[in-house]
Amino acid sequence: MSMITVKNLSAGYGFVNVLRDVSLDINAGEIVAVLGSNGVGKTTLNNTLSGLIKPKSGEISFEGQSLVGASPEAIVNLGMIHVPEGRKLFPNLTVRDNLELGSYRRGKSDRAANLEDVLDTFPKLRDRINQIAGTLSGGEQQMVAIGRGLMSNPKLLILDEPSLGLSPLLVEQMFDLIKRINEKGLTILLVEQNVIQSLAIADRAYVIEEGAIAISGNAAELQDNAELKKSYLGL
Amino acid sequence: MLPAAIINGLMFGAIYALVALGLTLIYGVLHIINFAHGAMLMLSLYAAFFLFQLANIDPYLSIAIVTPAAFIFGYLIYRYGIGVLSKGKDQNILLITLGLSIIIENSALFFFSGDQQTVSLSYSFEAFDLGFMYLSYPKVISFVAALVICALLWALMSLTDMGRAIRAVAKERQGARLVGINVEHIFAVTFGIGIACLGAAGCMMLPIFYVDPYTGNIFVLVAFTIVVLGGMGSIIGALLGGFIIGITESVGGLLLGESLGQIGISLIFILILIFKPTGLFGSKV
Ligand SMILES: Nc1ncnc2c1ncn2[C@@H]1O[C@H](COP(=O)(O)OP(=O)(O)O)[C@@H](O)[C@H]1O
Ligand SMILES: [Mg+2]
Repeated sequence: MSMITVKNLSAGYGFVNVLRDVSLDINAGEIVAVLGSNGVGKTTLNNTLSGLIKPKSGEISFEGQSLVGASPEAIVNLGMIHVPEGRKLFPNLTVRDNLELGSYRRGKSDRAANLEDVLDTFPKLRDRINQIAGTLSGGEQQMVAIGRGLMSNPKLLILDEPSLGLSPLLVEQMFDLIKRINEKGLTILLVEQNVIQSLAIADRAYVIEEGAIAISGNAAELQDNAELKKSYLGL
Repeated sequence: MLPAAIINGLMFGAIYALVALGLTLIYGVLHIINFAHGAMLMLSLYAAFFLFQLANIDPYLSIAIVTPAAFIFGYLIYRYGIGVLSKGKDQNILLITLGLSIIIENSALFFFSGDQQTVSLSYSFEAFDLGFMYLSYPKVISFVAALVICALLWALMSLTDMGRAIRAVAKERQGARLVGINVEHIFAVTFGIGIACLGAAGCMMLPIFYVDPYTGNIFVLVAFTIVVLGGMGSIIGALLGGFIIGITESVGGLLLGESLGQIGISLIFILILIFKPTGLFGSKV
């Protein structure tokens, strides 16, 4: 059964339409990649799913419940967490405060246990726990951003370009990590420009062009898709 | 003489600090200057005044009534007034708070008249004898109460989820929304806390000052200097800045005469703008 279903979604800013008639769905346990180059509307899609902007038309349902008009807090409560492009950490707070605010809506009940889990996933953050987040390196900030998302025990994690700005080695580790988190049972919507690595770990993928879904299918099949190769990999 | 002036300055400085604390907190989180700060301080003074006149409640006890009432007033006026009317645009908020101050001041003029009102307490003239000076009870009580309120505010900001959420919203609104913080609620809470500081300050000021529809502005002008001195948005800066300005005013008064005491404040203001425009404590919240 699909965890989230998006039907004929249109969204944008002011009078400008960015997304046109986007439909997609994600099943529990999957990694679904949404691929596309700069400015095609990937972040707009994420912002609409997480309630930061309201859809102009269309339907979004999460576990059978409509999300149209739901506030970002309500969507967090339902178990859908959006780790934004550019991380959007609280730069003036410590790593610990950033992580703990990830469980803001859940209160303190399982906070300590969740924090331990996150620190086991990102052992590097253990040494940095009292450091001010704004002073971390890009890779460490991305770990905090994902860790902050995991702190609320989400069902669906939306990652917006998690590999952006990382060194090639760190990019590699980031994709491994996403795979590992998924294997622990978390469903993931992975928004990326890094086509090869994303298809390597994803179950299925959608390609967005100019605000509309242009290609979709199984990740394995898309790896051999001629059109995709031509336009995104320059092959 | 000098030690006496310094201690007097500290006592007044604590109240200045409270007024500045509200201003700096609101600036640090909402990134706006509340132009209705003086008007709201004046309302607090009147609240304490009428509680004394009509219900015979000691102004220092009124702190326990006026402070929470001011919080609720501040919360509601932001959440359902300023926040809604401004549609999220900072420049609108400025104009709305400016308009609010005009409405509040003129309503006060209409309902309370322009006369200066004072209260006299049975213990107004009782004092501790420090040997070299007398320290009146009202001043000591205000000083201690102001410190306690600063300590509570510090604890709220650094030890609670609410405080962390406020500091988070101050720097990263979108990140805050995505962890499920209701940013409009946090704005209103912050505004409420800022006005609550005024509620406490108003009660403390009443026994050692007077109230009329324009009293608030006198203090807010000084508070602006303190906020700039301490660093826009810095809580510790507001506290220390309050003391520094209080002492400057009182020592300046001693050396230059009562009416020129404020020259020192203007001087500090100019020096800070020239040499350290970010203030003593930068822009931390
Ligand atoms: N806040 C905004 N206001 C107006 N237009 C925006 C805003 N954010 C993005 N856009 C526009 O929407 C389009 C899609 O942007 P975005 O969703 O960020 O693309 P992507 O994430 O795929 O790079 C772009 O043309 C961009 O200029
Ligand atoms: Mg983007």
